[in-house]
Amino acid sequence: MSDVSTIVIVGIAVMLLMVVSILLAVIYNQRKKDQHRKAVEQLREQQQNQLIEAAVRSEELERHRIAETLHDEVGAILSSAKLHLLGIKSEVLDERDQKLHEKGRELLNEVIQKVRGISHNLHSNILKEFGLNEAIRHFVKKVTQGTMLQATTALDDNYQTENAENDISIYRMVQELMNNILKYANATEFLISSTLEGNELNLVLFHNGDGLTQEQFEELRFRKEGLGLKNIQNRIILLKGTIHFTQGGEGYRINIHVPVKTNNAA
Amino acid sequence: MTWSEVWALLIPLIFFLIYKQKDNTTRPIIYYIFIGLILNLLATLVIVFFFKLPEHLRNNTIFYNLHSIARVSFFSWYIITIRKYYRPQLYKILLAAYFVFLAFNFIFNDSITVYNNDLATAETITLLVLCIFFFLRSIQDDSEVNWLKHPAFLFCAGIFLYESVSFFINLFFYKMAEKNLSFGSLMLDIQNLIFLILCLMISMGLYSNRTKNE
Repeated sequence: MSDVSTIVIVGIAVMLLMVVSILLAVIYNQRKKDQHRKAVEQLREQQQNQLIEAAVRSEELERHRIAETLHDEVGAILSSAKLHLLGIKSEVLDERDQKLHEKGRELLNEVIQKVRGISHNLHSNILKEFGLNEAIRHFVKKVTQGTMLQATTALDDNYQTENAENDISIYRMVQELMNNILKYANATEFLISSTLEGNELNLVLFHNGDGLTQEQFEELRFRKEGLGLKNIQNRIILLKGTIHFTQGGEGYRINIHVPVKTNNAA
Repeated sequence: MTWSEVWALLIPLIFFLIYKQKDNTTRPIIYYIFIGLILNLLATLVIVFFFKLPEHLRNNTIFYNLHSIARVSFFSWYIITIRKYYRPQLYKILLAAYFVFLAFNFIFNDSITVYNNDLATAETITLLVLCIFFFLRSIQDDSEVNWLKHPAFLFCAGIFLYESVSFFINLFFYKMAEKNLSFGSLMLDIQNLIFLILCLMISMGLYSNRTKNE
């Protein structure tokens, strides 16, 4: 082999070595950058979740504080006012004042009931004492009483509370969704069901009124007036679950999947 | 591999025709494919019909020289276009130097119809430097762009490989042919093979730059 041929072969080999080295350097560098970017992204997500958790927890604390104030202070004052009102001898009053006295008593009773209702709604006593299923059943029964809405609950009793904080979040989501259905959907039938599958609790809310599709949900939760939906999304992020709004032939369906740890889980 | 210079360029052309490009950034590459294809076709036709052509038309070197200039022009245009945010002064100086050399060479040294080692070497040096600049910039780049998935990476890797292998072949081609014709012929085949790889990488680049709903 001539000198020129050797030079050419060695030259090509050296050049190829350079090409491979530079390309490997670019690939290695890009992979490193990707790893760094992913780590930053993860950290950002973690921080966002911590902020959401703090916001949700503080909201819950505030609800408790308001519920306790309503129950212990406003409720006590109203009960005292009722006692005072009952202390008035109505038989000594003329007919007009008797009517006013009677009306005042009725209104006061109504206010006491309302305050108690709001206080119970804000407080999660039933949830803590009887668990998520009972709290949902109680809530659904209470809000649909005296309405045209025919509500059915079919909840999986295998579900045992593992994390009370998570149950509060699930309960609040159900409350918010149920309130929205009552306010906007004009539905006549409502079904809430739950199934526990392995480590996942699946909740389905179905109604035959006007509901939301996933696109509408995504759009509304970024609007100022979509605060309730934003709260739902925050709680879903906090629970590391998913929520899907779908429209079927007979109505609208909301599927909530939440990972839970249970003793029965495999 | 007489026709390989032609059909190799048909591969990226087919990719371009099948996959609609999502933006205009690959335009210089598309121009290169068309112009390169025409020049290589003419060069090959001269060889195929060599004895049927009049004597003054029996030279295809002009097409190879023009192809060399086209390669530098369109690939450097492409690299400048995609790196426009990163002060391309150095690229421009290098290109200006290349074109000054080109003008000087054709005016004072050889005609464009004569095979010129220096022209091929200038092409190789210019494109190698441009590609190295590109790779260094992509290493320094802190933006969100994933350069491994960017079509520019495939185009530049292809041209980088082609020019690296061509460098010594072009530099010593005459000496090789004089001393060992079969070795010279083998080197030309290797160059054609690397050209085919360049065309495949251009095709992959065009594929990665397609509109995603295709």
